[in-house]
Amino acid sequence: MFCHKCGTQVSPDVQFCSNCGESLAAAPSVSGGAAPPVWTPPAGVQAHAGHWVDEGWQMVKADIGTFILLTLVFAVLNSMVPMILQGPLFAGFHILCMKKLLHRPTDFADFFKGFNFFVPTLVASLIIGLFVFCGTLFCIIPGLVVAAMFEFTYLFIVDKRMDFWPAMQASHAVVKSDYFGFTMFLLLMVLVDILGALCCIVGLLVALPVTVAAVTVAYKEIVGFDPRTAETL
Amino acid sequence: MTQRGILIRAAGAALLLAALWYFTPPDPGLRLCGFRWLTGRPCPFCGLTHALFALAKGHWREAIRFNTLSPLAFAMLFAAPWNCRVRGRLWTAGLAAFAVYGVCRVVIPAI
Repeated sequence: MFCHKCGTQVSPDVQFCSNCGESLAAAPSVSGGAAPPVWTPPAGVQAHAGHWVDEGWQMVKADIGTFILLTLVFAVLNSMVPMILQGPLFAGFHILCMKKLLHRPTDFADFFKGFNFFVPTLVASLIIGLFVFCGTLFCIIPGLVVAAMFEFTYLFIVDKRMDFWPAMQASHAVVKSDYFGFTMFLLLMVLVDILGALCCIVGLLVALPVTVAAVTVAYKEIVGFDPRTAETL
Repeated sequence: MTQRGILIRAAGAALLLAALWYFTPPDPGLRLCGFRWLTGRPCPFCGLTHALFALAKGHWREAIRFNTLSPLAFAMLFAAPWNCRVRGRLWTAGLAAFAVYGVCRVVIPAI
């Protein structure tokens, strides 16, 4: 498991983090919320790329108008303020998909709930972008593997209330049991987006939400949503 | 792993090998390696695509000329879909070897 304060991986049976000394005991929350949970990565995870993309497509197909509109807003905001808004907007997209998976009613405002996690998602997007750029320098493929390693980061931030670094470590802990499978999952999503872009760019309005929904479905099946997330979303 | 999973992976490996054997990539007009573009020296993975195609055809010398560690990369590629302990060890050792090779490629111009 990981320390919720500094993100160091620690043995599940210890009470204090060996790095920062933070208590890892499940202390009851005084204010009724907010203490970030201690999370143990699942073992032996395997990627099911085709199944997840199919589930993502089913989700988007069921409410295609909303998703197209959201992707338009995403594209406009992202082009107006490049890089800075990318993380929070992706987090908002994931929140909307999470609510759909939890069978909760969704509205347009959910898309902007990613801004409740502005700092961690912004820092995560910048660091992941830097890592992917560095990996891409080495003949492209290492960049794809790095991108696959951190594909669940935003979900760990919004669902488990993790800071950017523990969330990135948690995403890596999930992916490391099947690097190949998760890289293929990422490649499949890139392929879906390319196909969307080939349809006069307009296809991206459907392809992009399918890929975001697919990642959310994968997260739900592998990690599972935090019980508190269902209450707070 | 189920028998179906084994069959799918074996079929995938056979398809990949057939594709590598049948096709030969053309010389790229545009080099995609940013490291080479920035430093003028090849990165640890430069030449791997051509080397893998050469290896599948049995052209070992040519493959090693493209990238010395290409046989290792060939083994890593075909081990990738098999989720077992040997794969983990092979990939860990392989990536470490590529890191060392990358440094050698930068430092020693003849490699």
